[in-house]
Amino acid sequence: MKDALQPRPATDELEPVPAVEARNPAFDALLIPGEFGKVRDRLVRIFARRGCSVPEDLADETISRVLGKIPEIAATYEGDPLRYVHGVARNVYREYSRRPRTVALEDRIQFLVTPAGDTAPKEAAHECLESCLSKLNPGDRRLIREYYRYDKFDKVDRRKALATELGIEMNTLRIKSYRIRHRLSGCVLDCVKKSDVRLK
Amino acid sequence: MYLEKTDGTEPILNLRAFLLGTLAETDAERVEFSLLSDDGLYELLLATEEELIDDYLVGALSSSEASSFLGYLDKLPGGRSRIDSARDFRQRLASENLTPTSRTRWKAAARRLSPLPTWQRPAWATAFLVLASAVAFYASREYREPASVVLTAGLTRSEGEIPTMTLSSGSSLRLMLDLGVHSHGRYRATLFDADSRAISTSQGLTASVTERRILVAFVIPVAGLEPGDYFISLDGEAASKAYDPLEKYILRLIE
Repeated sequence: MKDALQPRPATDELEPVPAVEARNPAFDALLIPGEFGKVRDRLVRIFARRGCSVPEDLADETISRVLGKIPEIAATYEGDPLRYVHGVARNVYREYSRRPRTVALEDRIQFLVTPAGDTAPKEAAHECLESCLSKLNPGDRRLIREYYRYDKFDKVDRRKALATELGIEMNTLRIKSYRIRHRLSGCVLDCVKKSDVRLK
Repeated sequence: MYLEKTDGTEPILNLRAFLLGTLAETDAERVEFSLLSDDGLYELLLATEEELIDDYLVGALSSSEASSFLGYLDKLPGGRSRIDSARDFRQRLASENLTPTSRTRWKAAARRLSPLPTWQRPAWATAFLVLASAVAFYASREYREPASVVLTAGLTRSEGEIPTMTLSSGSSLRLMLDLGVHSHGRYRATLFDADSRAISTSQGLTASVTERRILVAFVIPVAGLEPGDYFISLDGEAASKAYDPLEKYILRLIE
């Protein structure tokens, strides 16, 4: 198990998948660059939901074990390889849950250290958010405005009305709103980085 | 026993219960497998996370729900900072000087972006088939790989960096639409001119993963196109065979 204090690579900075040959076409699909990154993101959430304090480590452990087994099982394995991945994840979780629990030091630091009164980064982020919102096309800007114009008592009714007005299902509205938020987050991050560079 | 793969219509209550830790364990394991294998469901999970963050901010979660959800969020990379971002976002929206919601204005905007009226479709379909046949004939005589461009959703025409292609680069153009997230099995792309007239439609498109991008590609014939601004409307094909409007992309064609 990796040291919890080691910096974690971002999903797209993972080491390249080693040259593993799989004769099962479904396992071949898993070996496409980027696919294991997608699986990793989901495994992290699965382990986090199960209450694991080091979900990224457990996700990496799961992927390592799957990669190690592919040469052995690919030719004879029947069915969806993601079932195999899920099975390995369950085993990794069982082993983790039997270990004595420790709290990673960096997790404790997260709760102990509160940011100082420097408001400059927050103001930069606020300006960036304003700028990014203005870059949305009018339809998206309107949708995101209407989607969040609610309080806790009328959220459901307002959003149903919005979905009806747009002629889409509720889940589609949720996904559209999530995508717009996701784009905004990316835009704000880029903008904040650029403003950091300008200030230096 | 596992769930069948979903088409993104998993009841939202199940996903909320999954994230709050209140779903029965056997059901939770079934959702876990579905998340690994179903891109649409995973995207819906991410949208549900955002909803729960918003519910937390307006005090709509009970104390046990809030505690459980924050515990989950803390374990995700960048989890807690999403709450600050969401708070800023809501404050920003609340401080905007909102004009009264006008059903008429909203519908008028939707009409400008909508496809052609039904009675015009056969004529446009025929024109498209004729155009497509002509393109196929000339293409069979001399094939040249079409020029390609990757388009990103959400740009407005006032942006200074609208993707531009030249009409003289070939007999057809390949447009590659950056989806962001893969949500449907198949897609439909419709090319509109600046006056919102549909020029061509491609159905049954599928997404392909290329390094860090998920793209839907389709080819449009150049013949008959004039220099100017165009937009592409991308829709996802739902299980009911109806189309869910997804994204719009802007393209500029020059000589």
